[in-house]
Amino acid sequence: MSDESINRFACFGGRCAVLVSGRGPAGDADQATALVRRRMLDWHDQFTRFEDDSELSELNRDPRETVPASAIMLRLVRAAVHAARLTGGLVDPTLLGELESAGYRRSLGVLGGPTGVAIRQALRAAPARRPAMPRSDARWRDIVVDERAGTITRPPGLRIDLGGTAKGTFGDLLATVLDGHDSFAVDAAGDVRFGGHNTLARPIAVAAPAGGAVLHTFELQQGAAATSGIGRRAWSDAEGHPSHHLLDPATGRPAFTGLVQVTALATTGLEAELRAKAALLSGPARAAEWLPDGGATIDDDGVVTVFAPSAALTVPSRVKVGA
Amino acid sequence: MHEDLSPTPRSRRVAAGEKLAARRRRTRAIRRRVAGMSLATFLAASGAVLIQLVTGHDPALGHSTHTAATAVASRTAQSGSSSSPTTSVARHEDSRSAVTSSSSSRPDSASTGSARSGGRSGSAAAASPSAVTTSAS
Repeated sequence: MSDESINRFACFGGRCAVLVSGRGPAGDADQATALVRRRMLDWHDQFTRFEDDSELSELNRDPRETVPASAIMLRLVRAAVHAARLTGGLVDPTLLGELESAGYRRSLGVLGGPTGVAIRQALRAAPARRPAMPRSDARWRDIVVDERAGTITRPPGLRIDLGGTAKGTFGDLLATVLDGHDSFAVDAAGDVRFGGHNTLARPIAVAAPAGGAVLHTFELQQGAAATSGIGRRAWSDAEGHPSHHLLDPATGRPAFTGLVQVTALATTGLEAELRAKAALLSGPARAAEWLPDGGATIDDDGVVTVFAPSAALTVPSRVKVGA
Repeated sequence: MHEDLSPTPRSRRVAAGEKLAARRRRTRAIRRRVAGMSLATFLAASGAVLIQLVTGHDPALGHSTHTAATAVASRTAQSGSSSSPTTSVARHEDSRSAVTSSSSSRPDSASTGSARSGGRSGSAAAASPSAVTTSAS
């Protein structure tokens, strides 16, 4: 096997990396990492909600009920609705207004974020812990993706936040290209998709909510890992209340469930992303139900619980990609 | 009349020679044991490293992550069984200590770049994929 080409860059509000070994559909390893990097940067510009001229912002502003959309946009919105359906509405793509009301109006990565607060301080001031619940009106059910017509239909004014499900889906899309190489890993700002022809295990390290220390390292051959947590994107809102970007859909307020971070393993990036978020929102008592392929949780007291990876991630087999 | 029982100069030389020879034998035995143990230790350590490399777990490629993981989660098991979900529990003291005020996210020349891992090829160990970190974004 040839050397591993590694390309690191800033994207999606965080640090990204592409690692590829061997020749494949995307050329040699260097060509493959360069190609993937270009695609990720293009996708960031196309789908960020923090730029007025992005396709997502234009969709959210569009007064029509049915709006034409690009093929990738159709795929991303379909993935977001799929995540909502699988989680019973816990992972809800229609909470953009609530997210902005909580203070998350700008990219934390670009501007340094709202006033940072220590997790300890936030947890001390946070309301009583309880599992998050879905919204009773389930607005996400009003979103309809018509791939044949190339349109997205939703009530005008209902804005969509692609959030982490987009990063997971990007990893899955890139995996369809990179799977023909000896090995690859795509790190989309913490959402990791990995695989390839060879059967060598890749170390997948789980970082701590703050400080970046490694809490645990999985040795996995293929699949995906995603981490959801309140550590990095936390701030004090206008009233001084502790806030973060993971909302309880039922209340529209930041969720404090007793968990500060969850890492989920899965065969696809989308699954890993929705599982991590659903596990964190479900709280410590039910998080394990969302981690059938393994993962790790950290509770408010700093207790780390590791769930062993399933055979699907440690035994080579072809992974079906799709929302 | 008493016999003179004190050792003669000759018998004293013989005894001293025997004592010296015994000491040399003991010294040789100790040297052999030390050399043998050193060789055995070296072979055992080399064998362990060789096995680790052959199985694709080059410690040089994941040194920092493995060290930290060992320090924090001391009972982790990574066999791929899904039937026993919880494999370890450990306390992470740092998880409540600091948060956010994140770093720059826009592409910039100082924070971007390409690299090649190691420049090694050929052996299974050298081909081990590099570690990747998943973190909350």
